[in-house]
Amino acid sequence: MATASPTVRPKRVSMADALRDMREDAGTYRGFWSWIATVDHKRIGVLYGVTAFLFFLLGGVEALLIRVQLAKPDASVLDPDQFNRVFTMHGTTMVFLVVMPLSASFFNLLVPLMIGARDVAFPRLNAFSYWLFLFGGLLLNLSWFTGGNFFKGEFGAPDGGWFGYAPLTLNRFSPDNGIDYWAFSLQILGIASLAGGFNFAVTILNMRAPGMTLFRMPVFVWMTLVTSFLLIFAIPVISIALFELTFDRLFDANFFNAAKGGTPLLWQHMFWLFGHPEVYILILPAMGIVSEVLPTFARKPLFGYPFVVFSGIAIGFMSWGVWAHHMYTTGLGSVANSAFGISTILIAVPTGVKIFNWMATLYGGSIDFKTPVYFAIGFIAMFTVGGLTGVTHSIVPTDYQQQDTYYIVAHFHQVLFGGAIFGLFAGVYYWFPKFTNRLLNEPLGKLHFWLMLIGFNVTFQPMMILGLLGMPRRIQTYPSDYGWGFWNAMATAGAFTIAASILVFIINVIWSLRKGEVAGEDPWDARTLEWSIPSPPPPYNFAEIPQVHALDDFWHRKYAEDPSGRPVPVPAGAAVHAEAHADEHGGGHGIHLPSPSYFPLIAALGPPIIALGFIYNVGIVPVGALITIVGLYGWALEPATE
Amino acid sequence: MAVHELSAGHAETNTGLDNRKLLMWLFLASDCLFFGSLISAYLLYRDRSLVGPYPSDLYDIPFTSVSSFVLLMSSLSMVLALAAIQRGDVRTMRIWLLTTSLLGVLFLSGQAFEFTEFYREGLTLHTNMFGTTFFVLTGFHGAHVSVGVLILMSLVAASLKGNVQQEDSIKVELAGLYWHFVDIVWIVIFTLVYLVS
Amino acid sequence: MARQRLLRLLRALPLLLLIAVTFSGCRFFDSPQNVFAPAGEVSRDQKNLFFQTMWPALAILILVEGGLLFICLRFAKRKGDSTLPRQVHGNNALEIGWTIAPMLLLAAFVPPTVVGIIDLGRVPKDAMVVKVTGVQWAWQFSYPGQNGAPDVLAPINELHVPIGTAMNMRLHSNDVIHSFWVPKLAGKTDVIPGRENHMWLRATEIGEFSGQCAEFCGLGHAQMRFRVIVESQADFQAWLQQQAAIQDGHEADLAYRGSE
Repeated sequence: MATASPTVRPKRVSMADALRDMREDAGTYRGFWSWIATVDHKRIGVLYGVTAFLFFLLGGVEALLIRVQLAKPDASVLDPDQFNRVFTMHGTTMVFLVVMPLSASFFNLLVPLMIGARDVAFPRLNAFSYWLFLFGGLLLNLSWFTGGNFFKGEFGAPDGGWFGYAPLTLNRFSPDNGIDYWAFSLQILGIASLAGGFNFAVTILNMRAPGMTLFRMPVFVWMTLVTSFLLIFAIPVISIALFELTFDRLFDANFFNAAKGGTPLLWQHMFWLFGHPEVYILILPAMGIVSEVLPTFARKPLFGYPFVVFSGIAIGFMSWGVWAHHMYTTGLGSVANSAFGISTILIAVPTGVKIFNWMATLYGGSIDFKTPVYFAIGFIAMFTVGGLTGVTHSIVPTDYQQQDTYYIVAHFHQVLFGGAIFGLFAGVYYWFPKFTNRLLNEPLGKLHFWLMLIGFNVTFQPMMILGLLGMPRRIQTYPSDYGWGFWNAMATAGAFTIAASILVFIINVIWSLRKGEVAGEDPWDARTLEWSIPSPPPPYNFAEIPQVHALDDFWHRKYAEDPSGRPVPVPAGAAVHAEAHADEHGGGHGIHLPSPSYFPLIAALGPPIIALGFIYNVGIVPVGALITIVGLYGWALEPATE
Repeated sequence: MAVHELSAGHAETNTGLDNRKLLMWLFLASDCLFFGSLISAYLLYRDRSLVGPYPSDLYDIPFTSVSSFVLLMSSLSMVLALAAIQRGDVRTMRIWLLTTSLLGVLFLSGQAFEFTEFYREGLTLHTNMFGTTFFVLTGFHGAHVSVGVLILMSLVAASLKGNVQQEDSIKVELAGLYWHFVDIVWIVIFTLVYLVS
Repeated sequence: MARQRLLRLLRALPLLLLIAVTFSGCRFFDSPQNVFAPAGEVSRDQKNLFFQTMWPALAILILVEGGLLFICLRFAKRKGDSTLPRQVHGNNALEIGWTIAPMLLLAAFVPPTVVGIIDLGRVPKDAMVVKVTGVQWAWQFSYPGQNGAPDVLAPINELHVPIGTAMNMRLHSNDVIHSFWVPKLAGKTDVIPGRENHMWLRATEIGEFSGQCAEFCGLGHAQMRFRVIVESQADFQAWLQQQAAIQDGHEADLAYRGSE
């Protein structure tokens, strides 16, 4: 056992001893440095969640700035240069620094627990993913300050849109280094996500508890698996696209240079080949969360489990065949437009299957209306609208009118906010008690929900109208006689309502951490394995790895079914809890836990420095490379045991 | 608290595959998309250079065939290295790993020579579509080979310290998987970029 | 119960707005770029096609949202009642049903979609050619000269079109990607450097219509608007001859004009 408090240490003999002492300290789970060196998936999950939430607030401020500028016609709250940078950062932040890392947070917190494992397959790779995400996000936001005097409104942030179309993003048309910050940051974030994809795929395929076949896994774990494979195949494509853009900008290559025979359309193809699977990467985890929340609060199992799983897999496969529906207006020709039109029309089918199965889960249930299920039902309601507007986009000739208008903005916010964000909040309210042993306050939770639902609809439904009234996207202002002012003003009011709802959430979290009702192991009487261990879970998760006999194994330990299908509680003595509450640090028993390590952080420091080197002074590049190599070698050569 | 590394190799896995081996396969799968994108860009822009020099002006197929053969042979020596460590023969493994590295470096030298020749004939990243797509594609491949050589030399160094024994053969196997992949990618590049015109 | 009524109202909101949009006579539902007030053949066909999809989509929306609402009200846990419901796991017939039925409905959208794509992609044989060039941040239009005569340039951001005549728009860009869009006349098509795109439109009403660049193109994107003047054949020919006569000086207009 490591000593609980720092004592006077004997004089250092070697570097190896010093490192070992640092790691022992970190292994006590106490203090700031234990967070720096952690490789525990639960701590990494918390790091991801908190960091992503902070970026959510930043992206939200960026959204409010946009809405204030557009609330009235001919406004000049933000000039075109500032506006272009703000909307670029809003989109980039929300996609890459908020929704993806929030999903990663849930993967980290839940997947090992749901499959009965002690950690992920590669704990240090896991930590590396987090640190790369943090440093990539910081690098991107550093660019705000590189344009001159930030406080005078001179920003250096990228201004090419979150989708960075060439040739606008080439040197000739974007001479400042904002786009370089954007490209390098996305590369770094891409590596983080790719590593996460590898990690969770291996974890899910290889580390399930005995008896947990693939079809006894919770749906959330299935969605994580599909998402991981989407990441594994999609990230390399955007990575190459970003390399090509960077080479065009820094080294005068011709990938998107029409003057030398290149075509800007190559960027679009590559971006959307990544981009469409990416939107399913954004939504599938939230769908997984909804699939866990609904059965718990309806008090009956998920309806059609195999079909919900297969539809998720189908969505994963089909997502590769629809990318050019983002390019209908680029003149690809009738054959291409027809092919992608048909594939896009059809991808609605598996999503419909999920929605019907969720409704059937609730049907015949005894729905306990707590905050998590409010958000889950809100997800279904909002996502249905988003999905149906998606069908209207897939009708190619009408998309020629809708493309690049606020009708599209309404659609994707409907599915990404009304869908993903609502789903993620359902998860927060559902699993907060598991990791903090406190329930979030119910009245505040419901207030959050209603304010957010109302605010969301008041913001984005007017945008459907604006799009059909001919308002294009990404315009800094509009004339007063176009009939757009009223709806824009309404949208802005809605945006501030959303902001208020987030404030309510923050207050709820702060209050509940101190004064919230103590949750205990299983406050919701739920179905999956994470509810069978203490709240918060001990470092080793399970004192004994459970033996799994069925889907929703934990539920079946609590309830048997009578002949008519009604559940009957199993007599108290017969219930076998997999948990003996072992002493604080997971007492011996030969439980092997991964050692903490500083090397993932060190290795993650290198790439941003390399990026800054390429942007400012090539001499810095070897420094960054050296740090990366030192980090990687330290990682590889670290002693496996103490 | 007794902390021990979660040894991925020793635990039972659901698929029966070691975690690290599954990781390597997934990594190679993603690398297929990586090279696939670069090769697609090359093929898309194949006949779209507005000015020369053009591939037919520059390619020295016999020369490139020799260096391709060198890389192919390095896969053979890699297999022999793995076979050696699997039967516990560390010294022989080391010899074959060094051979593989040497052949890899020889291949890279051939690439470097070829690139400087092309450069002297007027082909740069900037000249035309051929220059852009050729150098980036083969450059990334060369970078992969270089990383491979580093990995192999690291294994050699580790084995000199006694850290690569028969039970660690998976480390050599993983390096081998990576090396063979990089070799196969070269076969594809050589065929599509050099031979098919 | 008040809560559930509020829920019902809020779920209906997108629905109500969508219905309201279709009756776009009211002040809040009109605009110079209103997609639902077509003044051209293509935009009229697009509007009709949109409604062909919108009504079924609306019906499904009502079914799903209504169903959700019904379920929430009917199956809410009763106070003090803690009996657990029957643990139903699934129903294969239902699954097949609600997979096939949407597939059939969606398949019904395919023929009009493909027909529309082909129709919009096929420029009518008798179409008059107009060359469109987008630059940062203005639009130039020119009419190819007849029988070896030089091209006729129009004033910047001003496109004239004779009523009832199909126009073959040949779309170019001199710098970045822009998008040519006159909502009341037709959908949009991007202008991409290094490539010529084309689309056609045919105006069915005399008047002045508003167009706007619909692809983000930098600082002046919001200002990149243009006018389309649809006039009688006679008025158009007169205007064209007038432009030919005052040909020079227009090239200079192509330089950056900043915000208007």
